[in-house]
Amino acid sequence: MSAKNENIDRAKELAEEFKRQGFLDKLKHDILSQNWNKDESTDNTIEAVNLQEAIRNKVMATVNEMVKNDENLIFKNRGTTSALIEAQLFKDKYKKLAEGDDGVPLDKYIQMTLSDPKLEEGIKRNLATIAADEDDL
Amino acid sequence: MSGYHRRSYPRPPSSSHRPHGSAPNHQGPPYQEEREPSRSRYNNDGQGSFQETRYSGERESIGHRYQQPPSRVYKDQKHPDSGRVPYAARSIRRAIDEHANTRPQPFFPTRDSRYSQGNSSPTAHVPLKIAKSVSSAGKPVRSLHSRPAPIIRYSEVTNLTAKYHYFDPVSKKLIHKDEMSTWNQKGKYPITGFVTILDSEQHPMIQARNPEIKSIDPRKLTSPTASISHRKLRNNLTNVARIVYDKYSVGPPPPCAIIVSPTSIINNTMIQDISIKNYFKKFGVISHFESFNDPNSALPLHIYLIKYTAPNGKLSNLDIPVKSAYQAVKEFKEKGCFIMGSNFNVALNKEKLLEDIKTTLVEENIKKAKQLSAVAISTEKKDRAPIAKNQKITMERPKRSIPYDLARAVNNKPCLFVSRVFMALHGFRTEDFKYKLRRYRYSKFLDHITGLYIVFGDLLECKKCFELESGKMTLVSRSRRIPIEIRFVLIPPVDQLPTRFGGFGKSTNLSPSTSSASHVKVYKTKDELINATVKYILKDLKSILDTDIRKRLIGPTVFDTLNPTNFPELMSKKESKERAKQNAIETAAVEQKKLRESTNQDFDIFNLYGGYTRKAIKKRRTSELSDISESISLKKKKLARPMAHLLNEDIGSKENTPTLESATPFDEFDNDHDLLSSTSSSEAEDGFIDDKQKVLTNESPVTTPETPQDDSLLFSSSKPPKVDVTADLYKPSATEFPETVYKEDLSILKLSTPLSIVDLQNMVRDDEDLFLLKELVAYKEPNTVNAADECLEYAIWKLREWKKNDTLIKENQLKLNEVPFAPALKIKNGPFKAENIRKVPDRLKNCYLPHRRKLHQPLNTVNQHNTESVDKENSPEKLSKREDTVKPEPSESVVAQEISSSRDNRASNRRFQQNIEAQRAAIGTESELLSLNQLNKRKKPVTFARSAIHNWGLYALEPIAAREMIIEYVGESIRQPVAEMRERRYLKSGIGSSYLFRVDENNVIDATKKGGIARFINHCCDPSCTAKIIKVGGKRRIVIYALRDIAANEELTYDYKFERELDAEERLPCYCGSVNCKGFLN
Repeated sequence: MSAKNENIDRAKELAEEFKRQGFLDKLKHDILSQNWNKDESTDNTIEAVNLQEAIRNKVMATVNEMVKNDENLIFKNRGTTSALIEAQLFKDKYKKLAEGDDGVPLDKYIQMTLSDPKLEEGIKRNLATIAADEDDL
Repeated sequence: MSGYHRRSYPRPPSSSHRPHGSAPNHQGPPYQEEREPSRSRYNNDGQGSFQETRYSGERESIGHRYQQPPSRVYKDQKHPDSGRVPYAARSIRRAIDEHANTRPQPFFPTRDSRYSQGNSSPTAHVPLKIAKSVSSAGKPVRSLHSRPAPIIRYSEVTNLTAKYHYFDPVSKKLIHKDEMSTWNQKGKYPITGFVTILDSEQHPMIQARNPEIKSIDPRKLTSPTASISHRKLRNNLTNVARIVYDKYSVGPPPPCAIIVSPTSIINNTMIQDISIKNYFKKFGVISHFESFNDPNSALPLHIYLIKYTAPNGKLSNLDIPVKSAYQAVKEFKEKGCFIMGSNFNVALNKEKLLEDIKTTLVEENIKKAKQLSAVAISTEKKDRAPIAKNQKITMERPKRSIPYDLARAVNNKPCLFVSRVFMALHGFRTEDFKYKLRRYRYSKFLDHITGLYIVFGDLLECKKCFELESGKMTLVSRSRRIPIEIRFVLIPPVDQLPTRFGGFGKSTNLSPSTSSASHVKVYKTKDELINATVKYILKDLKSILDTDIRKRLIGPTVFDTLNPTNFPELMSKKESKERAKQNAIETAAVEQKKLRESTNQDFDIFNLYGGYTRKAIKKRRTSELSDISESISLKKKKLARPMAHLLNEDIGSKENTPTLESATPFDEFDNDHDLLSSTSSSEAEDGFIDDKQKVLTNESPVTTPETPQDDSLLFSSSKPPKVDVTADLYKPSATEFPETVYKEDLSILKLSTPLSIVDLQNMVRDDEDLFLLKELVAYKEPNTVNAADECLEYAIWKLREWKKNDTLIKENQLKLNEVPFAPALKIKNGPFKAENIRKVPDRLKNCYLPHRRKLHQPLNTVNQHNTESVDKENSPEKLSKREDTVKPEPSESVVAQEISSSRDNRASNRRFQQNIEAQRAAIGTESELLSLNQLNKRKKPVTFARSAIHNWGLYALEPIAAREMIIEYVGESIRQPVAEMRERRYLKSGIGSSYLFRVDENNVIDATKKGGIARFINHCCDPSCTAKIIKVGGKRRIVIYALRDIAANEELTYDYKFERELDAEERLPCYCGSVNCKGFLN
């Protein structure tokens, strides 16, 4: 492979291979399905809510709030309105979602997860196997 | 001696003398005279008599001798210089001949006299001897010569004898030279003769010859006066003019394709095929365009093969493509081809030229690529350290580089730069530079915010321009009005690697990332590599997470949450609001409609036509509302549905009427009136009557509320005045048998038609009847009024209402169309929209299309919609009067026209026509402008409208008297074959109606495309008009005349008189509807 193209970064190549083997998707899935409440230092969880659901709940709550403020939202074009709201939620590193009591500090959380040495280690392990495989080839 | 040879110079005497025949020439007449008889002699006499007659007289022998022109002999022979022939001898001779011809008299005698002095030349005796021998013994001469020996003729004519200058034929002796007189007594002619020379204007002229001057070849004579040639001096060979290639040309066809190849390798990847193609399009139509790529790098070689062809219409002309190619090559031969900043060679595609060019270029490319790769490798090694230094050095200099946004446009080509500040300061414009640098081969000017970039295709050219112009070129400053020196900044291509060989793509010079990528790729250890990879992966992971959260989680959730069903309370609130609004609108609309109704209650024809309009629905609905509001209010409580909906259902089908007990009778009724009470199935009848009776049993209280509605029914006891009447009625009669109060109408009881409820109700005339009926069916008063009863009551009311409407509709239908509505057209069940598409037969259309009515009375379709009511007795006067009121302007003029009798009219027309004719004659031109259609003046006011007979018809706008001309049938006059052709074509193109009118055997008038409205006249078997062919100004015209008096608004018809068609399928049915209709047109 390396012989084929010298110009491409070896590291990038490896990363590509990593993705191709589905490790990246798996990582993503893991992160998203992590138990949310547990991480939130409240160990005594009543119900295990993973990150995805937590986000969903929060979004729903926010949208409901918005509608309550402005009833006309639901009578307008649904597609456009939802796109606008979505952009608003996404803005400033999920600032809107982090607000409130049940807020999800998504940005902080993602940062934290990504900087987790455990995660890095896992990746490295995987990479090592991939690299070994390649070298064998 | 040559002079002797010239003697035989052939010139028959006749030719030399004939022109003088008419002149008073002594030779002419005698010669002529003598010859004739001699010829006759030859013809008549035999061989034996020949000699005798021949030599019988001197005269004759002279005549014969004359056949040989002796004068010629002497003329040349006796020339003093006869031995030397002057080069211009011929011309001299000609000149002398001319002299002889014009002035023979003085010439010959003098010559004679001169030569009469002894010419002792031995040859001179020859003729003499012969003559003698001939005269002495004729026979041997004949054997010697095939022709008679020369004999002196005209010997007695002294003048002539002088000719024989050395021999006196009379005395038969030679004349001595001294006795001869000179021919040039007056010294008129030069003794040495003439020579022809060229005069100053290069014309030949005769001059006295000087024997001392030797003759020269005139061709070698290069006179100084010779005209100077204006041709260009050619110092090399030029090509032969192009030879036109045609079908007679021999050999292989000349090339019609050209090859465009770059003079040097082009680094410009911006050159696109289309621009080259467009460039060479101007020479001719391009049939084939091909560009070639380097087989190694797949990059364009910029070699193009362009093949020309002849334009579409001139394919037979073989020379056009050849010429195009030739011209293309010729155009660029001298000045070279310069396209988009690159130089090209243009050559005709001969033999293997294309292949050669291609291979050389490919080889060159390979060589270059090798060099470059070597350079790249060597530079790469010593890259890192020195590069920083170099950069520092270059950075210190104020070096210009191409701004990022221009990089693509400049495409790594050399360019010159002028700063924007400088340009703005002096007010320079791009155009100024363009003009100044017009002689350089720049490829483009880029006007950028930083300044002006003059891009060159070629570095050499750029450098040349820079060297020659920078600091030298001046432009007059617009602000300071003084010439300013312009200094360019040369920006060489940043990356010297040509893109086409570099393999890095276009952005080699631009993106540092790629260059860094080439450095970063080496990792020392595996850990390093893995760490870098982890970094990449984490970065990707973050972005992936972000997109995922946004696209997959937030987006759909928001969308779902916004679903209105999630907010039922909001929705219901809004709905109720909307409903209230709608109700308000509806009520407002109803009120408006009511208002409108009250204002216009008159008969509305459009409404009739339209039948079931929205208005009608609304009207009915509201009336129902007022009528049955009580009964409905009861229902409303039971059913949680809006009233409007319920009513809708009632009007339409009633399958799911909510009432239970009365369901059966209800359905029966519906069926009944759906079938329009015309059903005659006896089987259903029994049950029907039973039902009726059942109904009646329940009915008694029900009918009572009906009574006030129906005034005709007399069992309403509520009206006191009527009680009196009934009292009268009920008075006992004094008859033997008791009589019924009302006359018995047994017709209702006929079993052929089923008994309807209305009939039954009608039969029950008074209380007594009702009582009897109740007794008959053993009716008991119900104790409570239940829902079923209410429904029944409503159903009965509805039935009556429907009946009423039906009769009204029928009446209107009759009033409008005079024909009852055809039952076949009625829709059996359900709405008409549910019906399939079907064709309504023509004969049924008359029951709903007023213009389709039969023709028994004159039609009045013209003003159909303007009239308030359709009046049947539209007598001509009445109608015309009405028209006057309707549209006064046109009819007034028409009336005015009609007042003066048509005869007067025509007379004045004729006068007018004559006047015009006279004027036309005065003008003297056959202009169509003044040609007058006489027939137009006599035209009657007619118009076209929908016809009862077929499609369109022509209608009289006012009454027309019998035998009056109505209109001319105008159209294109065509010949019979054309007409046949057109008829076929019209049929093909779907023009079913024929507007061809035969004038005579050969002429047809076609009004299909161009023509007057007379073409709309329909055929009728009982026509009101007739078509006549009359001659106007020598031309046959078709004119329609009235056969009988025609009322206004009556359709005009004439008999088409089609030929009888034998084929049944070909026959056209006639829809004229007249009493004596033949059924077919042909």
